Amino acid sequence: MSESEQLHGYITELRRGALTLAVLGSLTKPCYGYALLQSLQQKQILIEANTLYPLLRRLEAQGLLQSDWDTAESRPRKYYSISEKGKEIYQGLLAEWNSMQQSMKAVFRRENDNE
Amino acid sequence: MNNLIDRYVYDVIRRLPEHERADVEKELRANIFDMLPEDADEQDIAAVLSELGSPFYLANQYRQPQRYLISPAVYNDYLRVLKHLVPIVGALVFVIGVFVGIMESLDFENGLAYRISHILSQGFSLGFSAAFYMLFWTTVGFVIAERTGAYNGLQKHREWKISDLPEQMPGSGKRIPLSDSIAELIVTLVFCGTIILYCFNAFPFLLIRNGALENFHIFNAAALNFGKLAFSVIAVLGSVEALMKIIFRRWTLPVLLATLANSLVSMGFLLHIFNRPDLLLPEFVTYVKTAEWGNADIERFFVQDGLQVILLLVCVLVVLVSLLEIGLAVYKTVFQYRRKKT
Repeated sequence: MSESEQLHGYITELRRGALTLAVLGSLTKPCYGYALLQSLQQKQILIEANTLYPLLRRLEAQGLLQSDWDTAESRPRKYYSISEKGKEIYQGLLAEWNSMQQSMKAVFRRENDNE
Repeated sequence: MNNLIDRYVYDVIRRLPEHERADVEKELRANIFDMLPEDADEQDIAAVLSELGSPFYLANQYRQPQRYLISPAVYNDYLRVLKHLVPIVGALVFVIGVFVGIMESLDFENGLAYRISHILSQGFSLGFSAAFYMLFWTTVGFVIAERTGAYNGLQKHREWKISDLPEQMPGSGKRIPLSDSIAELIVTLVFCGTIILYCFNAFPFLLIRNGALENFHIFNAAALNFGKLAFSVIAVLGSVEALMKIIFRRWTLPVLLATLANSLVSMGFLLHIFNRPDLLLPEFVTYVKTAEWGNADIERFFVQDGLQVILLLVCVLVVLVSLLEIGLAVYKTVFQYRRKKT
């Protein structure tokens, strides 16, 4: 495995949990797949369609999201929103994210001080 | 232009478990249409599908983690390999077994029934064993390739392009049923094998004459010698045609060419055989003309060269059946290609 492939693997691992947090945090209001993709990309979150669409389905299967098909318009769309269970998980993840950020900052500060 | 989307969606969902397919298909279509601009043309569709990336990768993302012996990601490829390899290897080894059986039975002193059962049992036992081994080792190969990641690696390192999408989807264009092609192969081999055995005098033609069963000779030795060659060629061409149908499963150009070669050569050989002046033994002609048929009309028919009329009718029938076969093959191939274009 080349160095760039190794790095790519670590970045994918690092992003995976963060993406779940970003998606849960963005779905306080119902939103369909493509609109959510655009909204995340506008916020500089690097996510591709082929990652987001399957992720939405997976989170729904785990009970963190709920969905509804809107068939009122000419083109049917599936709207996702966060469920009660999803909200609890989101709060837990967010708290962990904030605490990790603090810890990381402390790690990097110590590294910089040592240099 | 919808065809690209259909082919893409199909290429994704065919790799998913059955119960998830309908749902993912509906959702994926909705997402693709959302990503397309108003009045999208084929280029826009290709751009969106390229953005979504390889159907193999997307299907992998959609799949919930589950354990399978052969996972849905490779199940279609596994089935396709099995569908091609098992019948072909089974049929080829069956032919080899029949050939070995025929060679062995030529030395037998036993009766006809024993010879036939020996030939068929050789063919079927070798054919079934070969098909079973093929099934077993193909399965083992796929399990190992998937467990070691060799299969995924192969797919990952290949750049995905729109042109990789499957051209044919289930239900588009009629397929040649596998059972028909296998039956055709077996009938060709049994029919030609029986006639070749007869030409070698290993297969008696029994008739009751004067209250006793006797082996009756109908054909001239020269005609029988020609028959050995002609029916060997017909058996080979017929087997090639059936094998082509098993491999391609549709009316493609190679299948058409094999059918035309078989029909035309068989027609040529059969017309030559039935038009040979020395086809029938003079003793047989005399017997038919002098036999008591129990009906005055039949007796008169045979006395007035009735055998020639029968041979002529057989020739007409051979030509009609061959032309019908050729016409149908050409029609089905043209229909298949037109359908592919649209």
